[in-house]
Amino acid sequence: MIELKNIWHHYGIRPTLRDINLTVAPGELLCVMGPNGMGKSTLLGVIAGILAPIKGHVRINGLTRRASIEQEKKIREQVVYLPDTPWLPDSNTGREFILGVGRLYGVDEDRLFDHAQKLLDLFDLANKGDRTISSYSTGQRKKIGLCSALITDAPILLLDEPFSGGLDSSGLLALQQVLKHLAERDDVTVVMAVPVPELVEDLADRIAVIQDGQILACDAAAELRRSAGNANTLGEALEQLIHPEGPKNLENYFDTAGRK
Amino acid sequence: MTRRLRLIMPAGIQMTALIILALPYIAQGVVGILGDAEDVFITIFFQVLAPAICAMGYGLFRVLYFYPLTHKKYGQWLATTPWAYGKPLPLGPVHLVWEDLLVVVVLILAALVGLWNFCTSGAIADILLIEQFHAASAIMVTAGIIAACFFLTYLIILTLAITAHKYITAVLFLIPLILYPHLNLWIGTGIFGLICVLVFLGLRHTLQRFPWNSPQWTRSPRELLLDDVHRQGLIGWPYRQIGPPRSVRQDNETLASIVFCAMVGWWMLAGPHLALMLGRVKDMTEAIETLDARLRDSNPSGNSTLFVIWFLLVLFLTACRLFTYLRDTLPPISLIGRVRTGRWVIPGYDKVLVTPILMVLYGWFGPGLWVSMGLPLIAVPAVSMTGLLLLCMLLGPTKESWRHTGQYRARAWGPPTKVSKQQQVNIPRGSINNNLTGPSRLHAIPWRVVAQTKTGRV
Repeated sequence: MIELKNIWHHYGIRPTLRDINLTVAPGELLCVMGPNGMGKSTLLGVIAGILAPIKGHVRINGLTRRASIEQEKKIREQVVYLPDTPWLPDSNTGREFILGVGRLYGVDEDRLFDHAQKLLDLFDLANKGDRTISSYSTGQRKKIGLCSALITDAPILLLDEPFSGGLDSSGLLALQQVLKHLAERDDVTVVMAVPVPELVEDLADRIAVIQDGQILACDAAAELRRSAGNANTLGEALEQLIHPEGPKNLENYFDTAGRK
Repeated sequence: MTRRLRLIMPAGIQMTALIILALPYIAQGVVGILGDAEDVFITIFFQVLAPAICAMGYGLFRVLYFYPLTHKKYGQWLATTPWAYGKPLPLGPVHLVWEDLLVVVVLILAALVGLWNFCTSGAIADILLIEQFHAASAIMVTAGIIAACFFLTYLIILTLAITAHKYITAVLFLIPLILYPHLNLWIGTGIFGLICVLVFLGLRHTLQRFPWNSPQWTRSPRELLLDDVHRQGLIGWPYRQIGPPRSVRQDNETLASIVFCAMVGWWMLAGPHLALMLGRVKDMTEAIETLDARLRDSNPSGNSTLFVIWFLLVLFLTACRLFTYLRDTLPPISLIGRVRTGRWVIPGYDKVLVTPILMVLYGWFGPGLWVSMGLPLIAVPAVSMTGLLLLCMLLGPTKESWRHTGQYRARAWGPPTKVSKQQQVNIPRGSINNNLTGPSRLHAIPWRVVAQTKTGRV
């Protein structure tokens, strides 16, 4: 269970997060969506412990982040955070890297090696697994980063834009299936920031829409569509929530363009 | 006796020693052929230095080879046997035995054979600037040099290798007392004897607690593996910054810090005193002032050059502390953000700056304070440094507390990658040690080999 209470944060003058209150149940798959620069990654960073909020607190499975050494240690063992561009050891192989991360999280040795092989197979990296990461393409780097998060067996996964960064269609599909499986069968809590609604419409249990550092809505995709006047797609629903004047602007643009 | 000698000096070492001892004579022959056989410096250099090097090497070997802690493979094997303190060590004893004396005597004789003519002819006296030099004295000096080379090397390496911290601390405390403050031969000898006793007690204490209370023996296989993960540079952003912790908190960290600071202060007090005593300066305060005046002459712009040096040291230590704490972090909000939002102080983050500020203030005012309190000038550097180190090491937050509870923003960075292409490609086929089992086995072999073995790719 992840609980955010009255979270405020700002890097400079403008608040990036404003009075965020959010609860994510165990085994829930929550997507954070919203326009660019509205605080999705900051919100994920606050949950992950990358940032200390200026106000408010984050509780994970009953433990408060950065409250005491013991609590923070326990939280760190339960949470894995994958940024959109994680650091990768270029001189090592992908397999070495994911084995290293698995060991960091104390995964049992036998499971670790088998799981690593399965993940490499799943993401079509079986042939590249024993080559140095410096030889990987952008998409393959993204995939090995995802493998590193998945190998930890952590009960809470925080993924910042996991579907971006050159992931191919088989990679997208594999990741969607894995996340669905983890949330449904393994009771893993997943929170991810995704800018594209089509990718998560069928996947997410709830979608938190964030704008200007505030949560506009947090509900299931069907509910969001209904609240937006029975929009056909989640994309349309979000557009109405976030940019109600969007269709009008578009109409204006085409009118102007047509006159020229 | 032959069996015992084989135990403390295996055949390979005997051969090596013979070759080293023969080298001076070969060198002397070469020098003779080249035409300068009478060069007394060359002769002495080769004929005293070679046995002295042999003696030091033997002292080194007596610890590193026979002591299971320094001979890791031997230690790991020994841990699988029912060996306990009281039983003879399979490779041979670590403590000194009379056969060691025999080896040292042979080395002394080897040195004396070559030097005999020079000692008796008085040539060595010219070199050592001694007016009268007798054969007996020459033998004593040569024997003393060789024996000291062996014994001091043995003692130093043994001291470094024992895991009984209280004995090591006592030894470090006693070392300056050999000369300071008495400069008396008999007291010095007595204290040296006490040091020897402490080292051997430490050795016994260490062996009694086999397997030892040292990190490499007591850490769990998981901790060793994690160290391996970090050593290989596999972990970077964000796992390095917010991943599960790898270190285990040590309970006696505070005590160890206090002892360390006190030890530095003691050595800083004894060191200058000893230097001045050996330089036969009577008034030490005057000597310090003279030194300062000389330094000031070379740098006329400064008020007190000694103080400038001290303050630079203070700044260096402060920077070290700041770097240790802040290298993985950034402030939660920018400076402009602080000013514009009126958040002048963020306690959760700014607490890390308190100790460095106090260190700089202490560095500026501390020495003057001690002088005004009537502390002798010679003792001020020692007391000031002890105080500074105590501030640096004891004032909070602790590194662990800061890492887990500080209100910072984690900085995204990874370690530089270290493994070369050549290391990655050349996998030794016989790397897997089948004698080990479980995590030790995995720890002992290269990662790539483990991975490839598991996937059937070797």
